[in-house]
Amino acid sequence: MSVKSDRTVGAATVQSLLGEGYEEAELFAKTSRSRSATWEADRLTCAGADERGWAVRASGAEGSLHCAGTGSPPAQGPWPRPAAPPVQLPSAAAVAPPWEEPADFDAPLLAEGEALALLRSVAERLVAEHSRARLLQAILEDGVAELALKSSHGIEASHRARVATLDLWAALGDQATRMSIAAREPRRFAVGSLARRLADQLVVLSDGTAPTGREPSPAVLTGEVLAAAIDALHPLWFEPGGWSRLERLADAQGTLGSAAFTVVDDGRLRGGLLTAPTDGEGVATGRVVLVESGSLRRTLRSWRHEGPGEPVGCVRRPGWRDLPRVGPSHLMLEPDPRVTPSSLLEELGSGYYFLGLEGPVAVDWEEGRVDLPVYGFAIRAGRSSHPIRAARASASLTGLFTGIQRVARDLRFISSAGGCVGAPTVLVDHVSVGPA
Amino acid sequence: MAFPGFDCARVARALGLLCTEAEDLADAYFERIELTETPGAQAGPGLVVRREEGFALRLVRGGRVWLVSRDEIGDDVVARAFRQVARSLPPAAPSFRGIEPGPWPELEDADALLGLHGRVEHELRQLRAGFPFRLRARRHRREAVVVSPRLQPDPQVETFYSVEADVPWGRWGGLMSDLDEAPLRIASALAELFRARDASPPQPVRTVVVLGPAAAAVFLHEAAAHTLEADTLALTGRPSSAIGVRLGSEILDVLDDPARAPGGVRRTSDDEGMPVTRRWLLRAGVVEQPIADRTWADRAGLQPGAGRRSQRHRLPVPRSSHLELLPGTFSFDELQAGATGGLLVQEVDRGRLDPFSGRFVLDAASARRIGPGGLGERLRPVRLSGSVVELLSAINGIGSQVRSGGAGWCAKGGDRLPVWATAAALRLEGIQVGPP
Repeated sequence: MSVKSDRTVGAATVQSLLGEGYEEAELFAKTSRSRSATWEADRLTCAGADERGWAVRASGAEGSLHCAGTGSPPAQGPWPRPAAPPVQLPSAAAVAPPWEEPADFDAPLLAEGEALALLRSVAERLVAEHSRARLLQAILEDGVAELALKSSHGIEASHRARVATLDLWAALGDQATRMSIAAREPRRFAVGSLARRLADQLVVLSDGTAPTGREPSPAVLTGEVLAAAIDALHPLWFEPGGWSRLERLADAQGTLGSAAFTVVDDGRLRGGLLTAPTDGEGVATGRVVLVESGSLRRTLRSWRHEGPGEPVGCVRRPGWRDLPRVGPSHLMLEPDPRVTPSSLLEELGSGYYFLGLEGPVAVDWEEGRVDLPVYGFAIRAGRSSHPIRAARASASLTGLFTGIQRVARDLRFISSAGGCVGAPTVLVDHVSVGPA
Repeated sequence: MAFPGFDCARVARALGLLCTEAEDLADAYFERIELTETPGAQAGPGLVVRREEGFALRLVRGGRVWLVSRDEIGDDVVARAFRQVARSLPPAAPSFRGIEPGPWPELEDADALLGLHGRVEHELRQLRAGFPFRLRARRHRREAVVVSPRLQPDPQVETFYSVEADVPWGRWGGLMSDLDEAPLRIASALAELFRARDASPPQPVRTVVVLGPAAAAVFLHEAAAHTLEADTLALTGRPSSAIGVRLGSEILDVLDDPARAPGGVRRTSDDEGMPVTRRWLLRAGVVEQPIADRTWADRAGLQPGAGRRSQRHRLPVPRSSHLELLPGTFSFDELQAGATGGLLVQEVDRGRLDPFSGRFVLDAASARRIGPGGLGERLRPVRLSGSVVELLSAINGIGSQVRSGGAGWCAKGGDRLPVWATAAALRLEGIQVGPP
């Protein structure tokens, strides 16, 4: 039984909760179908999973309940009794803007042969890039899901989702690295460029040396590096508490960053992995600008929290097991479609080109600083002089935001808290670079 | 029981039809999971209940694996999954009548979980401390039935508790087989975090370290068990070539024995239906038997019985369940007396092993300096580091009193599994200690 044809059961489920004394109730249901293929040196695995689950939230004077399970939602109780505190569910939403489902949602899932051929190709191309590199494991997953929500306040929402992920783990000598990418449709994975990036990472990690001293330097940061920094700074972007933190960082004019620093979250991002008409509570999603050309505008806030700007659907619920919580859909530093990443390297002249991170980003909120454990290349006169690893790039938060001079067009996302955080390649006027 | 009257013989006969080649391995894994949780969040919900059931069918043929998994259990859905995993359909379609789980049992322990916060507050008062904290407590119950053409082990049932407590100075988490001693254990850990809140990290130095039984459990899981898992060993060579290699001190005997785990999580068979064994990982510091599941046992000539599944949608992986450190001869006071000037670490947050270099780090939220007259200043946070061989060889004292309990959640390779240990305190000489 599909989610869409499950409406009668859904109504009965909500009704049964109200019948047991709850004052408001909501049913969320998700079905998904996925295929995965795993390549290892001496083993190939093909898996197919059909997942089907539901979750209800209900609340009343005595408290609240979140109950979830597999299969069809029960049409009647008894339900577990509530416990304090109560929760508040969203009231009926205003009419959502029109939604057009992306056409690639209908593309068929990868067949077993296609998936294994793609993974074999990654392994072969990696060896072609570097004869001593070896792919340890490659996992390709391709899935489609249907989500539906119904509440006692009259909210009814449903939509589909489509995501494919490719996780690669490779080694060169005693150095190993991982790379994860995602797209709506796996046939978009560019095997050649992935193998090249993976080989580059391995060479840097294998041959790189730590910087000898600490110096301020201009640097080009890839989207992955900056996205990880934006992600680590997540308390700034969401409520509760985000607005007051941002205000403390901004100057008297409300300026937080350079003219190139525009931060948005867009739940309906064209081509976005998580693009959807509504969020995990059935509230309409949309595009909101948090920082515009360096000027503070608002935070990402749901209807539950106060703050500047209209509330937006930003409650993430990745699966039926998960408790809904505020989070990004596609939170990103906005790219500039006119600028290529290579032009930033030309502009850099001398400095550093940081490709990735060797560990988690560290944020010192008391000092207002961010530390990035980076690897990449030292650049002299526009050319790579030597690979760098075990390095730490540091900046004050405002120094990082105001130091972003140019942004490129190559937006890259990382996954975060059930959503995506992204950034393009950027040129930063200076960061402090030294050994880790 | 979740599966009363479950017709395992019928499933076994059907799986026999899947095995059309001599070395084929086929099995079915049925599971039912119940989670009861008090999230402890201000915004609610007050109580979370999750009940899920489903199954997976697996066929292994040479270097190929096929896995089909579903979120329902019933004759139709099992029959469809059978057709999907079969490489060639048998002349007569097998029947799966009688494959229905029983009704869900009454919810247990919700009141005990809801009352835990108050009991911890009470214990804190006894310890002359009082501060706000957030407590997230869970009861986990899993019932699993594994069927293969030749094996029909008893259903395995596990019930245990997990707790996460947050204070402004840090977080403490633990696994428990029952809630009897939970309030005092949680309160003691939180009080220690409170008392160490203004402490500074140690200067980098080589020194003697005493690990309390809880810290020793995490250390041995990360350093000995992960190192000796067949999939880890295979990253750098043949897993069987580790047998006979000296990895640690001559006084170190470490076993994996799921049958002697704390009550509630004791096992007679693993998640592949193989009888569990009392597996000597290290005998007098020398590797005797690495950890293997069925496929790694076949591939590497090892002993199976340590296959664990985090859930039906994932394949079994070779993992330890319950580590056992054979006790030594030292009282805790004697261990401490031989460590003057060094550090005492009672609780460990996490450990990390680099399988390629053998480099290992262990992070603790706090430690105490051991002075001539007893325990001295607090230090926080603290990192212990070195190679696995260096750390395990540095053990020069093992306590005589063992403690059984949770060693924490293991998340290697994306499979989140609870791990248990019976361990005594350890004294390690000349260990690198410093800030993270």
